[in-house]
Amino acid sequence: MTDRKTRKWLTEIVGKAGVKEGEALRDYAVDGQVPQAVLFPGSREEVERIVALALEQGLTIVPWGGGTHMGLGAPPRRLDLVLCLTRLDRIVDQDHENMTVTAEAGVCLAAIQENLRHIGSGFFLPLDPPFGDKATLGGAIAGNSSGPRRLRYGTLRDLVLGIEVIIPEQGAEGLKTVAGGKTVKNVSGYDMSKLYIGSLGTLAIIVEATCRILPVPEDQATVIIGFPSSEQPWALARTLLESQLLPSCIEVYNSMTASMLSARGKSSAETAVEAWVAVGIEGIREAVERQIAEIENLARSQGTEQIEILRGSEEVAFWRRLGRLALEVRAKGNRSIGLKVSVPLSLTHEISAAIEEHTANENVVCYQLSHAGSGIVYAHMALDGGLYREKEEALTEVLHELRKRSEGMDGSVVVAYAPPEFKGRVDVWGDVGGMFPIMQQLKRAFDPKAILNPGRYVGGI
Amino acid sequence: MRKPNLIRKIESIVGRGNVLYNRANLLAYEYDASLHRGLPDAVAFATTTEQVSQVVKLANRERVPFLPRGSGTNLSGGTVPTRGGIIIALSRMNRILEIDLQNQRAVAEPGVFNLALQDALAPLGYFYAPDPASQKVSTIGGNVGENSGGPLCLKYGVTTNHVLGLEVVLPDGTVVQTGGKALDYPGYDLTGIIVGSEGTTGIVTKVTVRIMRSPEAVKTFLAIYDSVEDAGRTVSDIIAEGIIPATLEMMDKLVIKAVEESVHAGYPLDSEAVLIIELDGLRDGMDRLERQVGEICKRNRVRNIEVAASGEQRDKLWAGRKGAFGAVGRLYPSYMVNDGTVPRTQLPRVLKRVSEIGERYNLPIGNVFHAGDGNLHPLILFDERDKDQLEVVRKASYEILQACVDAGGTISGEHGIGLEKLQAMGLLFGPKDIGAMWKVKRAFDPTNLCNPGKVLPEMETGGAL
Repeated sequence: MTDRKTRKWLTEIVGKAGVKEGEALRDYAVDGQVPQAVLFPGSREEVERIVALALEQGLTIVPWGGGTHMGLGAPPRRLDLVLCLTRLDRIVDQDHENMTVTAEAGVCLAAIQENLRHIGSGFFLPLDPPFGDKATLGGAIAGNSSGPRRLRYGTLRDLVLGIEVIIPEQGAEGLKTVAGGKTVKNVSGYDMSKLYIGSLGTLAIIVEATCRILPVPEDQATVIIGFPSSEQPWALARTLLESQLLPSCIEVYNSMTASMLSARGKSSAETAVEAWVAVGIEGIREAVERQIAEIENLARSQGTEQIEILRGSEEVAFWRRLGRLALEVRAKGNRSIGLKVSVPLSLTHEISAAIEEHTANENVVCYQLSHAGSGIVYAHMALDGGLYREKEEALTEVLHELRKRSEGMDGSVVVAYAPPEFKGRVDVWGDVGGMFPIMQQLKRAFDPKAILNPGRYVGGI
Repeated sequence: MRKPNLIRKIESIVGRGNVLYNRANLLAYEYDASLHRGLPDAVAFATTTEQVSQVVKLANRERVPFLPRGSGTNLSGGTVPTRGGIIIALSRMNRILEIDLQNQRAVAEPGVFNLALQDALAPLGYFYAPDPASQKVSTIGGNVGENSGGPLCLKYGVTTNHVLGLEVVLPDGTVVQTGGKALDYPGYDLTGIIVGSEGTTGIVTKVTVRIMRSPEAVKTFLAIYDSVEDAGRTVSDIIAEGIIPATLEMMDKLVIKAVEESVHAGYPLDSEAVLIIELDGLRDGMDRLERQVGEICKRNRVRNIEVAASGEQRDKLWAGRKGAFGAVGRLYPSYMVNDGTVPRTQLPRVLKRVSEIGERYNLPIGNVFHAGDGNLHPLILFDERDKDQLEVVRKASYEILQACVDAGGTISGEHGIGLEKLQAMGLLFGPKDIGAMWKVKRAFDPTNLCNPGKVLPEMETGGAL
């Protein structure tokens, strides 16, 4: 409980405008649990002081960025304070000559992109997670968010060069620590950034990061192809992956997902189309032209004429809509469930078909979207309260089945979001294997009092 | 007293004949490619993960330190057993276990030479991106330990970006898996922590790496300059025009001379600097890029540009670069390679400071480096038999590291901290930062027997164990 005295101290740290209480707290509930206070620190020093106070008072903290991935993780064991970092919104350094950007954790990815676009002949941060217009840098790092273009540019573990975090452990030198730096090559000490990426804020609070950036490619386009059978996009993806072509993304999606996209204006509601593939291409002009031509030929040789080439604002709009898929699904039903399934590349099609089959058997509508070049399938199931109650048992079983199957393939299934009652029935992360004891040791070493996101991470960490 | 007993126990695990313990034999394992020395008590040649695990468990029971060793090409002393103990040599675990084209992965034992993996992949039209200059002899396991770079990492990233899974014998002897053939496994990214931890978090016994299709087209240029500054500006200008070559390597006069004398790569002896520029990708538009790079070189007063017309010519150009350390080694009894890395734009300034430091200490310094990613490799040349000179070299080296840190860079880009740069860690990190790294070390290795005394300087607050 945060008593009056604690509240007073917190207000002293962040100022009156930096504390939210009362009704507004509901917007910051995590799995239905409402925090006692939401704090908006205006500087790293304020974050540090809040963490120090929380340590002293034994308060738990849930760090919060844009709030776009708060569905990830198990329900918190306890929730006292939400620490919202959106006021740490300074872009500290944009060094296009060395191709790096350094920004505070609360900076919106869209703001970083917008700034970089106008430097020199244009640069960008090669990271395109869902809801990029709302997601923050720190949040993306904590959740290890990624998007379609990871095929070409990798994920945050490939992009983060340096990091600054606040560790919840009282010491003479304060709580702030740094690692890495501004250079791509850096082996000075342990590669600590890796530890914080994807740790869901359970080890430290990320306050700043330095990432690689790249020049905006000379040309880019997206080829969208519809197929009458659900196998065909996978065959095309396989051919592309085995070729020397260099697509930046290969996204396969089912007709449900396509219908969601078309509901937003684009005409792609061809009834004869079962499944789609969207291939993004970027690079120098000549190479883009040739790749478009080769992909078109490939599609035609597979007997489809449903080919569309998007450029410019149309292309941007398409990817933005695709990035909002989870949001749309969740708007359809407040008991929706999202799964992220990762398997070795060649098994993506098989696991995607298994998801389709299982959900069809249960009569649950499933919006699928796969990073076909990375072995990752997202399955979004729109459920309202009534449907959820009816299917709860069956969907729990589906998760177990899929998990058994993917783990047999050396893969994993993570629940990306789900109603708290579903999270109560299942392990949202799945088994992490023999390394779990080391993970526990790390948690104990970094957060000995377990005040950061307790209970939300793997194995109850 | 205890030692013969220990040797017998190791022999019972790895077999007689697979353990070295005579002083004469051990002397070959007291050093790596750095200037450090330290004699082990025994060298155990393991052939299976189970043996590695058993030896580690034995070391724990006997409370003796242990450390992994590949080919011993470490440049920072990371494989030198300063506290004695058991070297677990992995050179006989040298099988490529799997090349899985469908999943774009290869699985190798740690003792596989980097080049052996490349040679197995090339005929299939695939490659593994990390390509340290030592690749002929350095091992995949060693590359993992050091998070090795190489010329190609300008475009493709370093070892950690391509290692997706590990089988590891933890410091208590437990065998575990991290990562695998798929991506985004839940839980902390321990693969990412173990890579580059210089064998202080466990012993890697199996490595799963990403392999990629070989590029359709490669263009290799040798650009010859009459001044280092012009070559340096060319590097910045190429990147500024939005071109990301696969590699951008530079050598200065001293190195050019050494290389020509040993490898005969065709570098003109009277030039001040050469750049190796390599573009790769699709063939479409490559000619235009080639012209563009040519223009940039000319704008920066290049004396001459040669384009490798055949694979053979390309190999010849590269032989010079990859043989550079060895070539310089022929000229002087000893060299110390510095590995400071700076933001690329700081290169000219830092190179100038390096040359000033060399003059001040009266030490010849040659430069061969990954210009594209700001990774310097000043080679300080001397004679290590002269103990006074060794001290001077250490001083000069430290000042170069200081210069790199002052320029916003770091003390090691790819060679590791090992023993050599322990003290210099303080140039970069405060006690709190190093303390966080110690938390990781202790989580993996609470008894501090796994390659102790490397990477992390011992500190008053919690460092020493």
